[in-house]
Amino acid sequence: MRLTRRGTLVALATLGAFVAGATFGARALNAVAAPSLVAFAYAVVVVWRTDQPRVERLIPPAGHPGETRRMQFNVATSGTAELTDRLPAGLRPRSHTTPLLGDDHVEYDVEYARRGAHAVGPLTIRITDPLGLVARRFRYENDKEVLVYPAVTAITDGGALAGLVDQSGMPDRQAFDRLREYAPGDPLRDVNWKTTAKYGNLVVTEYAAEDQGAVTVVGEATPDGTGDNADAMADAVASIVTYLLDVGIEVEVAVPGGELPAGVGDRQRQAALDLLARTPPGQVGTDAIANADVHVVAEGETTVEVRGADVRYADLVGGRGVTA
Amino acid sequence: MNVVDRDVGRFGPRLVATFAIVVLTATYLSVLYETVDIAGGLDLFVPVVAGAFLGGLVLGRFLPDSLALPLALVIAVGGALLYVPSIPNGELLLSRLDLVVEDILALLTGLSILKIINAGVWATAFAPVPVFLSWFFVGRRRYSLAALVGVAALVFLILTSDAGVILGLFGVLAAATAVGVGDVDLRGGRLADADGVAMVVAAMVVLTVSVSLVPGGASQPLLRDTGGNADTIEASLTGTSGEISIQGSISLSPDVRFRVDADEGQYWKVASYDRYTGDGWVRTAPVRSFDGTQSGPDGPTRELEQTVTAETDLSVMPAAWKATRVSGEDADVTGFGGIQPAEPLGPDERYDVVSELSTATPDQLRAAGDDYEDVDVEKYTRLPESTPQQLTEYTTVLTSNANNSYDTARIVETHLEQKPYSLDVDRPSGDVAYSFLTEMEAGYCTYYATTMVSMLRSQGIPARFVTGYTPGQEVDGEYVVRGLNAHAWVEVYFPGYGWQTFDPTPSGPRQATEQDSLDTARSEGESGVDVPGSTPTPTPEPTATPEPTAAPTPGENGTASTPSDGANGSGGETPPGGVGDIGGLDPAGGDGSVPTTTGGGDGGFALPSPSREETALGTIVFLGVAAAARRSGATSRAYRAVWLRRQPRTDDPVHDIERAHERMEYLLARERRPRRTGETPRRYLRSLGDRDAMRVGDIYERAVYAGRTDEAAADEAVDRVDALVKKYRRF
Amino acid sequence: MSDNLAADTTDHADVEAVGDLARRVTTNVEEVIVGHHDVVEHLVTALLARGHVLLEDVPGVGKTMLARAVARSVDCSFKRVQFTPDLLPTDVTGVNVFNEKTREFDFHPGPIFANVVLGDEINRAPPKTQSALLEAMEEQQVTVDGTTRHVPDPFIVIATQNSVERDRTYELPAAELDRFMKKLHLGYPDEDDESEVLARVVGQHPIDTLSPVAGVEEIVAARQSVANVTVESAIREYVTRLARYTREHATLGVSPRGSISLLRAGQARAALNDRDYVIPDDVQREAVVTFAHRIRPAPDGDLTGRELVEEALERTTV
Repeated sequence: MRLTRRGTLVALATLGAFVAGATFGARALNAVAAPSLVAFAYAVVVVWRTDQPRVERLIPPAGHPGETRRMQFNVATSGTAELTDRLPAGLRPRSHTTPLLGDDHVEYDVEYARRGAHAVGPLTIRITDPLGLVARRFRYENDKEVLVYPAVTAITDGGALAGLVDQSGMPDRQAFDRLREYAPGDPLRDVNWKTTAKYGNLVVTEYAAEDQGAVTVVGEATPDGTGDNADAMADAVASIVTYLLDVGIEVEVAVPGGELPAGVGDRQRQAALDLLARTPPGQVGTDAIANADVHVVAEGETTVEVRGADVRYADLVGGRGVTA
Repeated sequence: MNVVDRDVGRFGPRLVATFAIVVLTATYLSVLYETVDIAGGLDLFVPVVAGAFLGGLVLGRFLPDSLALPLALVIAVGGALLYVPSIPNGELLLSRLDLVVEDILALLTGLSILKIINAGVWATAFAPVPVFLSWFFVGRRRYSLAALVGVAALVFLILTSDAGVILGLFGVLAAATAVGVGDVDLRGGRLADADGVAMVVAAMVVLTVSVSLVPGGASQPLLRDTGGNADTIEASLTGTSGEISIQGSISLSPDVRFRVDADEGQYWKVASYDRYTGDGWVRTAPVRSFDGTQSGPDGPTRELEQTVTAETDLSVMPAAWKATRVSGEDADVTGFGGIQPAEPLGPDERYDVVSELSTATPDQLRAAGDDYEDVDVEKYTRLPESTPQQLTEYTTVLTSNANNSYDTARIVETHLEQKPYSLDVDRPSGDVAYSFLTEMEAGYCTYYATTMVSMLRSQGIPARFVTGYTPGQEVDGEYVVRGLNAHAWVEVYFPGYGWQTFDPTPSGPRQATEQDSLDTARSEGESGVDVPGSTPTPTPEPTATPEPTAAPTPGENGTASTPSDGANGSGGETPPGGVGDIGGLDPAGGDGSVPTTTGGGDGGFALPSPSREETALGTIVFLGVAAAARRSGATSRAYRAVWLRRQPRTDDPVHDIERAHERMEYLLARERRPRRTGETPRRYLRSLGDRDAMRVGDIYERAVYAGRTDEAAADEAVDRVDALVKKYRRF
Repeated sequence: MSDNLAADTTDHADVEAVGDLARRVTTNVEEVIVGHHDVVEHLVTALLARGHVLLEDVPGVGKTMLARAVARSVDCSFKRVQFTPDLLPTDVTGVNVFNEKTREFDFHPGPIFANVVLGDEINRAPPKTQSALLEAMEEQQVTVDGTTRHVPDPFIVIATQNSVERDRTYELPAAELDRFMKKLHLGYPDEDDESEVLARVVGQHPIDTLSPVAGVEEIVAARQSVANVTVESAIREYVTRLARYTREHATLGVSPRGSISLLRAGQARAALNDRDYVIPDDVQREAVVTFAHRIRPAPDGDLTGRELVEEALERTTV
């Protein structure tokens, strides 16, 4: 608890009034000094007795850069209070202050500026007496974070990735790949009788190897101090992974921040975005690169290597042709 | 909540904060208004203040904060340009900054603004600065700054001892309210959110009134006018420390003050006062050191030599009017020609005076005319603008038969001498002169003299209020003058003859009262009451009574005009207040019969209690208590207790059942435990296990979730809930 | 005041009959299924509330047995479909086969044309096949080669889903999950129950001797009564509040279809308790199984769908 600026001014003036009154005997200064003293005493008592306000922070859901979400608080406080929230770089605004009126639900807009797992807070609540003479601050730390995913861009020119799509298939426990006409030499065991009956000719099920189902996407980025390379890598990997998952392909991810085992569907996409949101720049292991079907490298410019062919990521999303 | 509610709630804080600043402004403006009322110039003051108020408020809406101080400075300079040329030697003031500082210091340490020369103009120059500045800030919603400016102005006027305790208290309360509620407005709160402010302000009232703090004492100006510098500039700015405030009941002091060795007894004059404030007198004359001689009055005169010996500490130099030569002590002289000692006299110190007494006859005075060129007639005929018109009318009617100033004065004097004399009076609250004339039953010399001066001034006749001593007890050729001889009378100016003495106090009753006081003091064995030889003989001889004015015209009351102290020893009563200076009644003197001063003795914080202020303070405390009660939920709890006990029935059974269920839930929440948010009523009641409650729950369930109910069910529900209430109250 | 979903009001006698029926069926099924009383009750009430049920479980805990027992108890036809990735829609709905003799196409109905249809491992079915099933669930009809045919009444689909290999198989899309009124979970029996199971299967399996305790018409009538159980505005508002809470606290919350399902399930539960009006307790009883599977929680929240529903129950005013 400490004096506010206004409180200091009033305290000095009250002191001056007492001194002047005693020295020069202007008794009417009592009328000015005494109530001020009472106001101070009241202020100190009121602020001292205030309980710690209860604050519940409701973190907005994860989103992509450029989106705006609402940070919300449920606050239970009494008296005159003011709430100040601080946000790290990567979110805007960096701080927000609002007065509180009783039990309140406070909201404000947060703009997701940059990818990352941003730890929010600390939150301070400043309680003053009704006249604003004395103030007391309560500080709340937490370990909650706002997750901003990398920017996902639609891949318009998927030509380079087309081969992957054809090659991979719907994964399954039995992991069969596709149906094709019987070719001499195919084991009879693989004949798909149901379809043969409908089709009229012999049809064979071609099984793929288990791990051929999954496309491995690997990302690397050169550390450059600003984190731009890491962002570029994350954006590229996220876009590619989303594209593949949307088509229905099983995807596996390896980035400096960790690995994600193969999987499909929405759940896999969430997990990938989560991983990519947090990944720092750096390199991955050599065997990871060896297994990679898609290798993304960000070092100022972002290049995507697919089965030996290099293509600029900008082209993938820009819609221009591939130069092999 | 409809729109109207919300808007009123939004504007509530702003209205209250603005009103608080209005109150604060009124506190210091009331002092300034009174000054202008007394010293003249209301027709300039009101529009200037109104202009400053409106200008501040309007400009504050549009102009930025940074322009506040520069604009205020412009107004201050404008005020200075208005005031400085209106006083003599004003231009010199502009070049001597150190003198300005000295005067400001004097003001800040207790010099009343009423003593300022052309106080009315000064007040009109001063007022717009805080008014404009604070209302500019109100226009910008900077309530704290507005309050700061207002309080600063009020504190200034407190320091000059023109604003009292009540005004100071209300000003601070208003400032606190403005700051607190202004904060609520700036935060976007509603009026209900300002309940904390109400509580603080109420606490301020309650605790302040019940505690006494800074020890009191009269305000002493830091800088007294010393006769040392011949500079007229300093002296031209302010008057001396002479002021008188009219008191209520007083008593007489029997101590001997001084002795006068002279051939005849005269009224020993001490000081005269020109400015009437409605409840007191102020002298606005500069003081400079006396080089020993000055001219006498116009017209025929004779000389009287006097040797005055002090018996106690004496800070005045009594002498018959008009003293023309003084020797034996260093003296100062006022602008009115009165003499004062440069240093207070101690016991047995003495000085010699030669006075020239006017010997103008009544006929000469009647013929004196009204060509008042030689005197500042404005100064001596000014009455406060709040003086009732009836005073003038009364006097005009009374003196309609007189066709010259002398006769007019005599008629007034005689008329007032009819009034009963008493030392025990209630100080009137309005204009003293008018009250004495029409309402009061009796009074003492101060009242008589004040009233006569006011009445004469209302007729345009220059008159002034004079203090001094009646001749005293003659002992062996000397006159023994005691505190109880102190007296107030009137001087009227006649062209060509100067100031002539009149005394409207009836001498008979006065002397009788004085004698009683002296006898009582002697019988109680008080010391200092006599000097060798002054102890009375049973019948003191009559002494020759001096007649400063000619014999009364036939037909008029004979004794009235002679300031006789005829038969016995003694003289006037102790004039109250500042005239106490004369009798050595300095605060340091500690005289036993110091008359009561307003506001109680030293120390303590006794609030005088006019009922209007009490009502206002009481209202504030009530608001604070109400806010506290509301916040603590005491009011809602009380309301709930009543609501629980009894339920008014309607003809809608569903409504009744719902209301009964509500009561039951409130009761059970209080007595057992509240129902959790996600807990169904059925589970809740089963967990409590009360049969009555479960039955009510079933009725409620059927009504609300099955839509089936009837009067009988409603009756049963209400009855069972009533039974529950009784059951739990038993414990 | 009184406000019902249909014009007729169900009176107390009707409701008692329904409650009686439900209890009989449940007891009967429990001759075969040991130790899952709540799940059986939920299944029976779902049948009465015209809903479909998704069973998610580890293999071998009796999902098929449960479905068969229910079908047997109410004297209804039962068909099982095993979904595989190569299953064609016609495998479900039926196919028109060319009859050489009459030189016309005969319709051979698929397994969908039964009262109780058990669809095993629905998540392995290809999208087209799933949509055929969903059409049947939603509209009580299927379209084959342009011709629309109705499925029988009563009709209930009990689908199963393997809870083991979550990541390597598709989640059912949210839109499909939403079509199931309830998602139930059997789980392994406890020790005593497991012993009891073993005891029962020695010798003759109880399912073979299980006899019906209700008829098809009874079920049809019961379903009608359940649909007419009184639902006052207080209940509707409560259900709405619960649904809204889930929407505010999750990426994807409960849809209006979900709210309707909960309402119907509540009606069935009220009838089971011999009450002809729904009270909040009924809603609370059915909330988790009806809502949890429709919710996709916020990714950074640490609540599952089930936990979110429980939180909603705790924090929503009744």
